[in-house]
Amino acid sequence: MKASAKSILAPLVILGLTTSLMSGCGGNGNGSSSASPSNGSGTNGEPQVSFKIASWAGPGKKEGLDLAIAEYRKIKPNVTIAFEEVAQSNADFDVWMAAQLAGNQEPEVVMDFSYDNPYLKYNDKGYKVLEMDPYLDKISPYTNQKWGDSFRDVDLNLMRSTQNGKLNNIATSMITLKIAYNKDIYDQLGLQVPKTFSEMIANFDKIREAKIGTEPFSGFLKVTSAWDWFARFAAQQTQEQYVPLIDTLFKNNKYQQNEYVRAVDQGIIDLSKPEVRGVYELFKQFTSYWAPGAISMTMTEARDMWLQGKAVHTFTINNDAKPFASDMKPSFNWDTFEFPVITKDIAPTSNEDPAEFGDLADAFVVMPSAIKKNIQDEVMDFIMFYTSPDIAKQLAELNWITPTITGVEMNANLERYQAKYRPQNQIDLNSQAILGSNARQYVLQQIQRYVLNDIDTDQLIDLLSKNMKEEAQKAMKEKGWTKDNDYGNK
Amino acid sequence: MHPYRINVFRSIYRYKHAYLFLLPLLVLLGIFSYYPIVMALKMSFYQWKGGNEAIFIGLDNFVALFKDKTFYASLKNASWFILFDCTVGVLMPLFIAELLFHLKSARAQYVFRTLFVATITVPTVIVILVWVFLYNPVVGGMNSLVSLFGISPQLWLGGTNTALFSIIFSGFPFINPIYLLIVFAALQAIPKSLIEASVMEGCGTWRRIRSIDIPMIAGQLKLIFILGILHGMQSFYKQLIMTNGGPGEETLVPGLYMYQSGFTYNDFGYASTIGFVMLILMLALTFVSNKLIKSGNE
Repeated sequence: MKASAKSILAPLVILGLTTSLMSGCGGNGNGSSSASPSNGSGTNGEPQVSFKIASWAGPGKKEGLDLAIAEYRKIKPNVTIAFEEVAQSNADFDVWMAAQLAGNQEPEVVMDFSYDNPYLKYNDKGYKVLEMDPYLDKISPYTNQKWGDSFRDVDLNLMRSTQNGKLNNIATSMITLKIAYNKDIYDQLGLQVPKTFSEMIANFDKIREAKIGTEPFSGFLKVTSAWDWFARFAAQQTQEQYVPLIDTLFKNNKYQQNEYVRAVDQGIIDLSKPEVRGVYELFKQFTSYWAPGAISMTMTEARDMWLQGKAVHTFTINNDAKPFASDMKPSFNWDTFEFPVITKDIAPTSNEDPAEFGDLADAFVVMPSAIKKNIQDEVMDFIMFYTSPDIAKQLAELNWITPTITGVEMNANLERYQAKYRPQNQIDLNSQAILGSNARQYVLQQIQRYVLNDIDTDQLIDLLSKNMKEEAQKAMKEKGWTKDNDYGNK
Repeated sequence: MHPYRINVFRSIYRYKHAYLFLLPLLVLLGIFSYYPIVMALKMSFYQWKGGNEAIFIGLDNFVALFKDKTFYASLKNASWFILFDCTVGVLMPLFIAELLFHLKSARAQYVFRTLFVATITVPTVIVILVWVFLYNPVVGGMNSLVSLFGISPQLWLGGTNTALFSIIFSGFPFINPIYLLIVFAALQAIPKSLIEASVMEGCGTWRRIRSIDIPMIAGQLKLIFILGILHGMQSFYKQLIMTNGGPGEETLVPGLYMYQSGFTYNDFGYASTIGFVMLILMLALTFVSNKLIKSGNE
């Protein structure tokens, strides 16, 4: 190298090193993916805090969180939040988390499943995640009301663990199920939106009698979803009285598998009782109005049939809102209604409380690392911000998701999917889903045969009862539950 | 050392280059084909729920499988697929190959052969989805088609009595291009002198097919018969896409049951047991077919 070049480069290198050292001293670690709280102070005197949120990849998940983080940064410049999609699937995420937890390297917050999942995945394995119940009574600076008032009690109850009744996660969005209907045909036939199951069946009859070349309903029974929805919706109304009978171990108005197995083993659950048998019969009546071939159809195929105008109604979930507003826009006027109420005249045990199906999603869980670093208040402040109406509205617009918080104004298409009635309880004695996928699939197979009239109701009840008892015995054997150990409770 | 052994070593040494080239292939075959079989056998003695620790349970999975009515129902359904693959699945390629073979014009023969074989390039899933659409009782065309023959509308894939045969019929016109090529190549290999002699002797077409063609290509027919057994026994993706085994268990086959056991019920030990029993059944069926059907060379 020539001497002249050296004389130019040497000061430049020294200048560069000095600059980088100085910036390192004053920096707050923005560029780092590690999430340790800094001890430094921001320009407004607030302590610097940084934490990381991790989850698996999902459509719009990163965009949504980045948006919320950027908005939060505007009002809390001292808080640095990094979101990272660390896995492609929830299964891979679980593997990643297990390794992080084992090495005390877990992120401060994760976006995970709701319901009992956080308890089973973390608490049950000795990792104490943050209990959020005390925060429900705190005033959210973003709504000026108690944070807990933003949510429906039924949803908060569903989010709580069945094991200890604590709120260890907060679900931010949900899947809502509605029945979509063709408004043009309703107007043509002078039909009213049904409020009760009987009114809906009467509408189906009128559509059939009109002989206008459309089927009353486009359903699907190749997979369990539609049947599961119906079973849960119908049971919530007609089998509520079973909740205290099954919920005997933890007494938290919810039940888990060993409580259910106990109820089967002790004969509390009897499928031949009218309130259980009746749900199968109602479902058969409902499916008798479905377009032919529903047994081998998926939800997409059923929805396509409705879009083609070949059926007046179909099931729809909020994920349909975006395509129905753009590339799959129906060629007719349409709207949605909630599954109508089952009245006492057709099911004497009905509580006649409107119910609807909705699955909770995208739940924040605050990990032990945040508690260890004593930044749980700062983390919860961000979660309160994320679940404030302004941000929830922006997220709904961005990802077409239905927020769990109430009082969010949404666009007209998404408004059709807004949850109005939430699951009143968790009861479902018909689908046997709680006993596992094997039991659930068996029920579906027999339901398929039942709606095709291959077997009658008595035969269906016999088959399902036998299988339910076998599956309960299998679970007892596998998990070592006996009467003596109170089905694993001792 | 025994002279025979010395000869074997000499032979290996003489063809050392060939063996060296074969060695990597044999290693790969061992890793990717034989190792899974050994693993399936091993895991069939375990209760293994995916990520969890596998627990040794001896023959419990086999006992459960042999008591499992669903498994027998799936075998019964698979027997229909095997039956069809071994009859129509063999006869149709033979029929078409004979027609092609008897075409006078070589150009026409080439064109028709290409037309039949070109279907191999169409992705199977696309074909299945077209059939799913055709079978839709409301928007599909099958009900319109059968109404021309005075048949009332059917549920097809959604009907207890129609689902299984609807899946089988979705193979229409049942001409597997590979089987067709095998049979056609075998027909072309028949010595021309033999055919000319039969013509001179006044042998008709039917007699010639019976007495010359079929005996001369019996080895190839036996091959596609055995392939038909294996194909029928392993059939799975059509059932998965078209009906997922329903209604009830009407279209469930062992391959799909194995898939569901593993990936729906998370019971990989039981799925391994089904897989291993399927392997034994296929080996047995192949062995029996091999013994019962004699080709010309045997």
